[in-house]
Amino acid sequence: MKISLKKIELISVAVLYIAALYLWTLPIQKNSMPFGDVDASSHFAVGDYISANDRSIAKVPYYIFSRYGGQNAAFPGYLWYAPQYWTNLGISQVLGGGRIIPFFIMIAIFSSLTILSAYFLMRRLFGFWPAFLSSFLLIFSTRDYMVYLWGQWPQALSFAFTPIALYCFYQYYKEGMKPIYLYFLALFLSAQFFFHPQGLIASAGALIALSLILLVRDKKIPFSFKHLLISVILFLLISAAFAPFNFGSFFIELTTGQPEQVKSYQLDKLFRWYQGIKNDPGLPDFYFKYNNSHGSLNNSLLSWWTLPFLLAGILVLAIRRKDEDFVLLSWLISFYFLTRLTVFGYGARDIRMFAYEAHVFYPIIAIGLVSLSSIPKQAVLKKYLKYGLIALFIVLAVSVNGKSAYDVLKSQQNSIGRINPWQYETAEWLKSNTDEMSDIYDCGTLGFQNYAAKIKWFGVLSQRHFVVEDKEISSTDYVLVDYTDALLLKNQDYANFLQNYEASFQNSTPVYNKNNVRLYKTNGAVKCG
Amino acid sequence: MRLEGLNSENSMFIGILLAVAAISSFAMLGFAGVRTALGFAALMFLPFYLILNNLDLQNGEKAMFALFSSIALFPSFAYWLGFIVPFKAAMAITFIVLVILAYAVKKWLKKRST
Repeated sequence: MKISLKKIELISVAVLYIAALYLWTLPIQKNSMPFGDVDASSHFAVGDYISANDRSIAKVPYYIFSRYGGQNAAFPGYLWYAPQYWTNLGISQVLGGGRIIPFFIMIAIFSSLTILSAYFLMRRLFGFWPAFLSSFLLIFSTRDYMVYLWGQWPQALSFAFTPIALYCFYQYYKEGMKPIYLYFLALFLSAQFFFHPQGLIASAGALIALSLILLVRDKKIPFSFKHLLISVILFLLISAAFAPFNFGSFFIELTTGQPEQVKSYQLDKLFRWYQGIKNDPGLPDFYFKYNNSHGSLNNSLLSWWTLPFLLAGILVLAIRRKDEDFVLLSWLISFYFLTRLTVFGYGARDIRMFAYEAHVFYPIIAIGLVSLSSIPKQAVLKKYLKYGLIALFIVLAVSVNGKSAYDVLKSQQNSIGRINPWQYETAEWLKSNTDEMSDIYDCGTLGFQNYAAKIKWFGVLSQRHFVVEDKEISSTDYVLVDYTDALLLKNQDYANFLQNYEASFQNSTPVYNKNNVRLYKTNGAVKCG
Repeated sequence: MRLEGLNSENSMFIGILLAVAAISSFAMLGFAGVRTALGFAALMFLPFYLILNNLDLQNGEKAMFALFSSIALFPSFAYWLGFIVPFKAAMAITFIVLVILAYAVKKWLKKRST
């Protein structure tokens, strides 16, 4: 078998993506329990319900209804996002023959797909090395693996479609307005609508910026109105046909409610890159520090290593201004505006758009690095410099970004924030032995005082409603007293507190008593903590 | 159904790549990993690749467009069918219909060109 350059490239991409999957699946490699903060458990809930009951659902299941039942503005009680993402996860459970691991493998694949889509776009625009290097760096992107660990999974997949959308438009333009690319663009924009509107907005922003730039430069509209009209109809048809209960809701949310949340226009945001730490308590400080987000969480000097290449890349694109350069510049310009929407009076959550910053920056960083090799005039020197810089890039990416990413992802294997096996066993018992409409009050699972992520995971794993607000406590059917986290933390005060609470059940017999978890049948409950 | 550009040498190469992917999945995530990864490739990706293989696109485009189309469209069909038939059956029906569609498109294009 002859090994052609094409095959070598295919092997390189395969190795790159397998390496990415190795890193991204670290959290589940030695711990088969679920992870994910914030809304992660709800993304598990719908697909899990579909595969467990072997039927599709249009309405929010009872056990998460109190949290999500009112989130669909057009059809209250119906699923709050389009069902495609969750259905994929239900499919993964059927394919993999398990409830947790196949689900998280699919999550890891979806969350890391930007690595492939960015490669695809960059390969077409700038060739192998810029494509390989930008995707290589994306494997270790703090922004991306944090979104993955936090459980904002549909958003991650939606952003992965943006490079493909840009590719379609670029090809449409370069191939003399070949309509098939615009039709695929319509399909991929619909996909972004299915998975998360943020991705759709990111693509729309970049496409509008690119169209405007091309319009000004060519003094000609860079698309045919006929093709555009067909594409818009296609987008509307696909979106409305496959997500009818969410299509209206999206436009209602887009056109109402947001502007009034803006308290001030914050014009200073236009002159600073990271500006919103105080605006969003849901995002940690490091999210707004360049070296932490695009280098390493350990704050070393080397954690800034990508910044000079980024600046060089922007400079190169701005000076060269070829068609392919405009694609990256448009993406960057739209990113700039979309992360500053409050300045223009739109939305108070523009800060969340920073999630795709690495997708825009890393290709430019790769361009910056590769372009430096064109400085010398002698061909031999150019070649040596090019491969020297590539080697330097890979060494720094692995030793700085890679090490940081590995440490964080590996540390998740032992995180106390994850459901432990005894809790999982309890959840399975609850699923099989209690009524579907039962309300369960949890005292003891980590974060029980403020109904944190683990309580929500307990709920979706047992497919039972766990009380997540004080006002629901009076409807409690079961009280669950869970010592496992107190014991794992070796915290005697924590355990003593639970014992005191449990003392009120001394005349009752638990209906479940295993692995330091006990469940009492009650009629209402007293707040714990 | 013959795939464009897939001669015996390329088939062997693709086979080796698939085997490496399967072994890696198994090493990282056990049998569930292999089942999920290969299941995804066979059930979701392949039918879309077969359909797009009939269109006037480059090879890389066919693969990437099929990958991203499958993630969006396969669950769309399976989800809505899942209201009429059991969900697992909906998955199987979606797969079969898509493969038939790929074959029909190929036949139709061939007929049209002659």
